[in-house]
Amino acid sequence: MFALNAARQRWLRNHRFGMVYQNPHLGLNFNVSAGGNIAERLLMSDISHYGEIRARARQLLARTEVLVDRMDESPKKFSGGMQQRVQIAKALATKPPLLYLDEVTTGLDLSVQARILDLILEIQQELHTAMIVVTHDLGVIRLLAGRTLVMKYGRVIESGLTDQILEDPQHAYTQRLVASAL
Amino acid sequence: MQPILEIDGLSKHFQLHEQNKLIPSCANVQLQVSAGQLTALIGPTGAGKSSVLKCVYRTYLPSSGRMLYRDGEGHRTDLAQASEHRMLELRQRDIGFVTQFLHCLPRRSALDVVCEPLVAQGMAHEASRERARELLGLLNVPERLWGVPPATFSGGEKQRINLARGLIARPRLLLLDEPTASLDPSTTERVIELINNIKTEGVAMLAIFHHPELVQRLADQVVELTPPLAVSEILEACTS
Repeated sequence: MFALNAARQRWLRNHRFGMVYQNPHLGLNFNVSAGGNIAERLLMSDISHYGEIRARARQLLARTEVLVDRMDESPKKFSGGMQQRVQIAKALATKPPLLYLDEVTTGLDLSVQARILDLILEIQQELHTAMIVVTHDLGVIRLLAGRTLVMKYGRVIESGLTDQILEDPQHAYTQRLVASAL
Repeated sequence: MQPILEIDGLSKHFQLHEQNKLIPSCANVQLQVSAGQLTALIGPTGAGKSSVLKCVYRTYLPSSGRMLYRDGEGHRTDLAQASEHRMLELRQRDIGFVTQFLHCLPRRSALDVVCEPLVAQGMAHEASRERARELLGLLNVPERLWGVPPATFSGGEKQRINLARGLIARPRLLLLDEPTASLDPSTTERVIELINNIKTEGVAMLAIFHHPELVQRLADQVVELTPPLAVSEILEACTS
């Protein structure tokens, strides 16, 4: 990927990858409506029929349990959990085979967290989307990940099946991490 | 007939860095499990019986030894060396594990928890639910509980959900860790019946039972584990 030229990299990003950020400001354009955010993604991947875009946005927002009646409002007015749902809908718009989730539930209310995680799990099962999840929360890892890589100072220090990392951690840092879980 | 699982010289110890300790568990285990047969692991507490099962499932990383698994096509995989992707694939299709404790996705009904392995294999939701209902009925789980998440269930109820989940996918190799520990006598009889049924269907099982009586009734082979050597003895063995 690093060897590709800028145009190819952009193509990959627009067509094959989806990204959900911890901070909705990074993933959403607050100057346009929730539906407009999804339209932006679809336009970038060469879908330009207005009716089609509208229908697809409606469908995606319904799937991520955002009130479709509010699709013409700016996500600025939405709650944190709702903003994450719009972000997920936007990331899924191009049906990417690979989705990046960066601390997507950090800072959310526990019950909101649970529902976002359930949604992500459902997407995993329904669409067979491959996911790379970044999180500090061992519970999130246990729920979402089959495999886990532990990083420290920018390097992977340990990797393995998630249950093995949690029950039989090898590295001193991982052992401390797992022992620190509440 | 070729065994489905051959364990040779399996040892497991835990190196705890923070405490600077080496905790030995099972040591130099040899055993075989064949299709349609049940191999029982016996031995005192602390002999590492559960560790053997967890090593086979790769929840624990074995310290040494080989665990050769023969799949349906006759290919052999050393589970001790298998890649993570291979292990995940085997867990989904070939190897099941019924532990003493129920680990399941939260907020899902008991029915969905039980049919999840089938859905993961690609079976349609309704068909897999039908199978789950059948099994929950056979295991005497009251119907009023089926639609409720198992979080509030009693120990015995959770255990039965766990069993149903393990049995539903019809794995080629099933690992059982005290599957009847908190069950009443009549449910235990049902479980024995189910285990005998899947045995005739050719499922290979490696099991730990709480009661010697169950070992006698269900096991085709018995492997006794002895408690591990003290660390000093291991070190001696390493240096000699």
